[in-house]
Amino acid sequence: MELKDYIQGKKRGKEANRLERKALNDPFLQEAIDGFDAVGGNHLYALNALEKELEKRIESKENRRRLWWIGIAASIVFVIGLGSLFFIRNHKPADFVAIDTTVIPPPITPTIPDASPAIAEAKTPEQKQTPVSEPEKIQRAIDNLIIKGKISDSYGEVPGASVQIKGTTKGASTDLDGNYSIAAKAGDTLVFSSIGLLAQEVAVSKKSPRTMNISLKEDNIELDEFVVVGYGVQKKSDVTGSMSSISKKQVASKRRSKKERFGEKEFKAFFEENRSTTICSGEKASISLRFYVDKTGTPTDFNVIKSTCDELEEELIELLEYGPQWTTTERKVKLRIRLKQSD
Amino acid sequence: MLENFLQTGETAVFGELYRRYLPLVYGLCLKYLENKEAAHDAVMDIFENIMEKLPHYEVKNFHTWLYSVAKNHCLQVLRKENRIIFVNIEENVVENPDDFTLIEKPQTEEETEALVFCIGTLAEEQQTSIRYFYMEEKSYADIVELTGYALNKVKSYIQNGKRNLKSCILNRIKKWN
Repeated sequence: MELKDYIQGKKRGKEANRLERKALNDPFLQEAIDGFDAVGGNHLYALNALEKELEKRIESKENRRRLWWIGIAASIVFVIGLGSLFFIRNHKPADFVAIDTTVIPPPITPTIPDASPAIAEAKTPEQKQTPVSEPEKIQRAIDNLIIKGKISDSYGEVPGASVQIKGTTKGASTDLDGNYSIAAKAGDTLVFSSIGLLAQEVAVSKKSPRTMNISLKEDNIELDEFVVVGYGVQKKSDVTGSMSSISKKQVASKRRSKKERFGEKEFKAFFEENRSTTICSGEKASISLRFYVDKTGTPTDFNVIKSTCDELEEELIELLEYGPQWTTTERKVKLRIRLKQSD
Repeated sequence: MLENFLQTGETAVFGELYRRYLPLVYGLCLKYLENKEAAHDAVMDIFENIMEKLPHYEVKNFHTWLYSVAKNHCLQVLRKENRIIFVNIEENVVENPDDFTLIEKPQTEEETEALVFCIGTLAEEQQTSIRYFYMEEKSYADIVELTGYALNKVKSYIQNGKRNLKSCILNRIKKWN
């Protein structure tokens, strides 16, 4: 007899007795039976609902895997497309230059398309060198920054994610381990994206790090399906008591999704919103500290000038370190915070 | 099936394995969380957790492993809610895994003698319940009807009666040898 039959109401006779005996030697089974007995209601219905939900989750997980593969395939097609585009682009100017050098008057241009391919081909290699002079080439190499890194989401690395230079068709995609590499210029903006994840933009400057490991946040639509309630993001200010601390991961993912200005004023609001309400309660706590915002917008080198409460100091530095990146970079900041007592 | 999952990492394989355990896990969560919605959520959370964890563990006995993971999860949920948990210590002592079969199938004469003697030493309610349960293969529900005891009483009579019997029989046999 199965447990399912038992909870369905088949609780009489030898078969039921056998299951109950088994339960005496199997605490798992025993406690499950106790649970079904203790709580009323149609358990079979609840179990069917669970089965359906389980099925749905498995399906969407499998789909997600499939989507990755589709994503990879799409990226390959995309890259091939790019390649042919460059091929075409490189050839067109060559033809025009050919016209110039042979000094064919404009009225005769209609005949050019009929020119035998042999002529066109013979001219291209020689033309290819002329448009780009040596110094120009070197300059280009200097301008090009090879940026590498890994794209991940909360499940790990993301294969087949795309990295694109904003406003252009230049792009790359991640390999099976989530690694990418792309040539960009200072002033470009890289757009990191993948199906089911929120795209993220990062500006490239000459001082940008050459390794950018990007963590993408789940798209909310997906989140509904994949969120694990035990790890749910809770607003710290909503939590009463001193039970939780915001995890680094949570804050880090918040950090990356923000694109708007982030400076002293914004940090103060962020701090007020995310700090634990229980720190330094019952006193007029205040702190002032100095730190440096590095080129990536991350505050470092903390130097506490005055602090009335250790908890506040720890909380503040943690939220600075793992909070949103500052948009005003490479400068010294002095911050004073006075706790508003909420009670 | 477990090995298959560990080798292939196929979600579907593990899903099927977990599906078979749904009633057990759900019942367990009902017991601790005492609430259908909470138990439902817990069952799904445990699934997600295990999907992540399983490849990192060397699981020899999935049944007992899942039991402890699921139970811990439920206790943790309760702890987060700051609810006081009443745990009956006796109930949660895990019985010796090697089945104690003396009551069901006494092998030797002296075992039978010990069994008959020990049943006589039990309190009346335990004795009645044990007799019905082991000798006449009656289910809990049957015994409730036959005796008029409440269901949870019957359960504890049998559980405690079994424990008492076990120690009594083992003691008696030891004395003789």
